[in-house]
Amino acid sequence: MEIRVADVAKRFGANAALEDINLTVRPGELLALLGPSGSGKTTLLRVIAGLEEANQGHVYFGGQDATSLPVQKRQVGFVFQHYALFRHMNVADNIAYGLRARERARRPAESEIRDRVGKLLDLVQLPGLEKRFPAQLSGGQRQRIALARALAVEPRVLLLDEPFGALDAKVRKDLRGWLREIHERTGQTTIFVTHDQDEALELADRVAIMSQGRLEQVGTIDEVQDRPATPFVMNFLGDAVRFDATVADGRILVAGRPLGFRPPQGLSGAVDLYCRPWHLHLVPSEQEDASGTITAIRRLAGARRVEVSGAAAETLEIDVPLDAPLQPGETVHLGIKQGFLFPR
Amino acid sequence: MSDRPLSPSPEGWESVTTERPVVRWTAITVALVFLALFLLLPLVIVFVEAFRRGAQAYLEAFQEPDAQAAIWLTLTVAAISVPLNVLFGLTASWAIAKFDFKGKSLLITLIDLPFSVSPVVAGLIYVLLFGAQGFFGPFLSAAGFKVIFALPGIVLATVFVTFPFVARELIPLMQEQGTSEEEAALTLGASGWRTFWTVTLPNIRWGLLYGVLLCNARAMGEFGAVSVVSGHIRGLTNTMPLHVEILYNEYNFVAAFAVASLLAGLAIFTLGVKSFLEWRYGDSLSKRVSH
Repeated sequence: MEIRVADVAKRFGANAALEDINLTVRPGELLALLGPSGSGKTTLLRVIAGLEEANQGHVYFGGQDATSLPVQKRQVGFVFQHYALFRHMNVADNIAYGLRARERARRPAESEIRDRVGKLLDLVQLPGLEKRFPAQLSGGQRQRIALARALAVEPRVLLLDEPFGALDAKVRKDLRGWLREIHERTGQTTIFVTHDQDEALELADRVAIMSQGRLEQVGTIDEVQDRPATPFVMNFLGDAVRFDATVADGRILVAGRPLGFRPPQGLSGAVDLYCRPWHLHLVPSEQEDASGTITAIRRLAGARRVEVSGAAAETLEIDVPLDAPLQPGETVHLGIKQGFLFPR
Repeated sequence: MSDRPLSPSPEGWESVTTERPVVRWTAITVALVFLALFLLLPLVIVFVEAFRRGAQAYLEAFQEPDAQAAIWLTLTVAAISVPLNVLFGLTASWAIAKFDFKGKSLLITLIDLPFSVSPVVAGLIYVLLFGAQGFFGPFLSAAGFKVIFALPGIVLATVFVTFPFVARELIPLMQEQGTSEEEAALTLGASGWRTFWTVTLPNIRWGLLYGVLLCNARAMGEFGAVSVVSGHIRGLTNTMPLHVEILYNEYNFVAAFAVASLLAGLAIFTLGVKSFLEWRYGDSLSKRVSH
């Protein structure tokens, strides 16, 4: 089912939690809402679920306006960060809760419910745990049961709020692959919230990057990596170094010297140039685009990481081959192969 | 502590929070003596005095019509005021734990009011409101409805004195549990009513029972507030605690202590169930030390 969010805004008192959100989630897609804490991603998810009411804007489920639909009628599957399993019910009753809550006409027979619970437990790879209570399960198992419970009602969209946030690193990694697999098997339209860019990049078809209640960019992994829309996206998705630059006569100038690549159309004057560490390399002094002083050298597994100050606006780090003859205090000459320009 | 060796004692290292044995035993002895003197001894005396003339005389004390009327009245008052306070406690703690609204902290403060107001004052408030010379007095007597020196007044005073018990027990418990289980139920399509009965109530049931127990014990044992509004009409508006006082003032010690032993029994029973609940369901009761 296609989910569309149009012009949504949400305020908590005087604070704007969401501003001007427009987002379309395609049917069958796995979309990540990615952002630092406080960026509004969980609020957006809760607005879509109907757990939070937007002050403005609309939410459409497959063309139908769901804005004024109460949470019970939206048919969403919601998975909470801390599982929110019903602690006084066993696993089977937890999973069956949504089916039993249906009005009589739409409620399946008990035997069918039992059947469905068994199948869902198979799907989440925890068969035979029907009689266990949440307190007797590990965190990873609880989150799988929570997912089974959400899937039991055959939701129109599956919403996951930091589903792996409370789990340790190993379990988190396992569950990621497993979630991807389940998504491929069920084809369920899924939106999940995370602050972990690796998780988003590994799992999602597309990511929607948020900051301070606004959408910064929506796109595939390649799009956000290769064409970051804003400096925030650039910084959030990995290490980035900023240079002060100027665009004039179709050329990019750093400290007055032209770089070897061309600026995009329609940009001129003072700009910010952002580079990834691999956009920079060591060059002979006569070819340098920038230079700085080595302040520290650290050994990594297959390379050395060199900290350079004075070249860019902040201290930058580049990785060099193990046999590069560099010493702290030395001056290095850097070539800039590539970078992203943003108007100042 | 210069006389203590720096090397570990034969029993191993002592924890820094562990006092010397002499201090420990003094503290424990003082506490135990205090408890025995002020709690156990009076309790024993209640039963000793009640059975002073034998079991026959003890039982006869309950055959007296006034005593039976007092017991019935006490049970009636508790049967009305405890459910009322369960209702109040549930709604108040629900509102406080699950919503944000203006005046929330004022509400929490007000719930504690009966703990800080003398019960006699609580009784007087109702006399001033509903008594013959009171604010609503003329109106009520014109309507032929009697509040003070009758059952309604006793119930009102009891409700006032006991209303913090259920709410105070549930508020921290519900706050600790948060709202995510309720939200999960709602997203799964359950109505608000169904969510309350299948998710909220089961999660707080032991806390609720605990609150009801304390509320009931106080409702049955309340003296001060009830004494003011009751009028002490024998066989009509005398509750058990008031009846005990009357019997005692008439030098009818065996009967007085016999009725008192019922109240003491209730206290012991309450304590027993309370300890059982704490032992068995300690995790699902609130961590807060209750009254």
